[in-house]
Amino acid sequence: MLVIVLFGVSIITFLMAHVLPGDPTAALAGPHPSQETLNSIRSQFGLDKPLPVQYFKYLDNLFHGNLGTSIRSQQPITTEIMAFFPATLELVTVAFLFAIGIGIPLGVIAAVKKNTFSDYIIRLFAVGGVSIPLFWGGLVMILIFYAKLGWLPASGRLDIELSAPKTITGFYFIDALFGGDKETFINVVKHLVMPSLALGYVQLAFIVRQVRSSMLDALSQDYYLTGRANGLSHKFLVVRYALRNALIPSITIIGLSFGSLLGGAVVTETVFDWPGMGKYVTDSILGRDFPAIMGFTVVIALAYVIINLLVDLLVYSLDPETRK
Amino acid sequence: MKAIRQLIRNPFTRGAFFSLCVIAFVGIFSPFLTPYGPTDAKPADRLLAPGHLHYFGTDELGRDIFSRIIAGTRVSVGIALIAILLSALVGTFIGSFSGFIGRWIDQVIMRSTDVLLAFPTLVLALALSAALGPSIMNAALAIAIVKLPIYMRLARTQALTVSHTLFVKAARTFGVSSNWIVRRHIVPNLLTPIIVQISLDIGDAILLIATLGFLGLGAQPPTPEWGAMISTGWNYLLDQWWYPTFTGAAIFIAVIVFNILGDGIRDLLDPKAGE
Repeated sequence: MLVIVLFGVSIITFLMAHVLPGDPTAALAGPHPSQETLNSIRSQFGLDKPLPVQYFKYLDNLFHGNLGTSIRSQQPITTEIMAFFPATLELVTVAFLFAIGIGIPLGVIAAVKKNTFSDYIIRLFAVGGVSIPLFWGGLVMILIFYAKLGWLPASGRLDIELSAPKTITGFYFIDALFGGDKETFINVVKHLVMPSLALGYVQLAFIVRQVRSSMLDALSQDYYLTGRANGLSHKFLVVRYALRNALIPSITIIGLSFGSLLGGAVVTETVFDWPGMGKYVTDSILGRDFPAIMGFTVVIALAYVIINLLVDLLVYSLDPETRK
Repeated sequence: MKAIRQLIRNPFTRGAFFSLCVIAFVGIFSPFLTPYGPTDAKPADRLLAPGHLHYFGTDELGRDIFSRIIAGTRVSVGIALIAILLSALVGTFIGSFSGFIGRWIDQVIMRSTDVLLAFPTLVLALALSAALGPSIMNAALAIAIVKLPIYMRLARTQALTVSHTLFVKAARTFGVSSNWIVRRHIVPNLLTPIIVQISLDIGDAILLIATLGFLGLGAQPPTPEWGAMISTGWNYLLDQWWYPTFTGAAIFIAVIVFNILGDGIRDLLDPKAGE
């Protein structure tokens, strides 16, 4: 199954790169190229060979972790993406922790207090999250917390005058913590706040909605009524029974949200000038650096597939129903 | 009509329904509602603050931002609608075909939806529109492709379920043609979940169009598209905050209206999924 999907992913990215009308050679050749220049570029990249031959060459490169060469920097794309990956992973992880840390409790509260004022407020907050354009949320935050109040920095991972902490994990806030430099640590955390809140809010909204609906489902089951009839308290049943059952269907959505955060990071990193893969790909879009865009797409799809696989395994180990 | 009456019973969806009417009105009659031409540059009036002449101020070329937002309604919402309807139409057709025929064709089609779903939505839309070349029509096409697997799966599941029901089997024994079964039994049963899905997807499509525009992959200047306007307005964020802020608010309002309505329609037509 996994193999089929990955195979399909490689075909799609290949088709996008080689068959669709946007000609990658045109970007390389500059304005008004002669036919000769175009031909020589085409043969240099093997674009004059039949498509199946090109595809196998592409697949072979992928297997060896070779994503091609960036047009802008002439560097291997794999190396470039690896350099930007830790920053993105740090941002996405913090945003994810924020989304589940706030989202799950809010979803439970909304379900337990169904159709009360708090439920309406939480639902409005959640529908706001799925409706807000990521870049605009970031913009409003920058205006308030940077321009108006001056509490938080608006861009990057660290102030320019501070040097990056010694690399242990690639996550600045962990590295700075282990490095023991208090000033750097606080600075790193301050830089993380706005981008991770902006990025996490969208997924938080999805999580609230999912947890609320599966919690409502759990609370309408027979075991809840039986428990109540036997004199168990509402609170006890919510915590001990309903929550556990409600979280299993939520895990799939929560896992998917981690993948979606990887996509959302493209926008967030652009807005907050965060030096990660997302920023890399928007710069590549502006520079019409086609191989870099496709390299990024492959890496994200791969990460997404792996995350989904891990989520499935987790659900399988937690939920006896799926093992039947 | 009955559905609309039920929608406006709830205060949330009532507000959203009337806002939608306003958005539709603005979108349809935008050429008559703009106080200035949305692409009329007037360099002497560049970057003016909001005031009684220019409600939302002017942009870097002296164009009236209010007029551009009004004109952008038709572009952003219209393109999102086109993309989703295209996706729903094609996806439903392929999906029900796949479910009805079955066998290896079904396998191939379903595996291809798995592959499309292996990409985060935004990343696939981004790569597709980069590959097709930046233009608003290509962005719409990219969004239609990205949304395709949802409709294919939905239609397939419904087609499979319906084709195994007793009434379809009975129709078969009476010698009714496949064509008749698809038209009279499968399509009507498909309609409700597809409409629910469309209403849930429109808000998302507006967001995607705006995001692609913001990243420089959607509408190209001077088209008054909301995302592209924010992308330019970004450079003036700290000194002319109104420029990107009002435009973003327009996107937010349009999307939240569609999302609240979408939820309302789902609760109405599909009671099982609602609560």
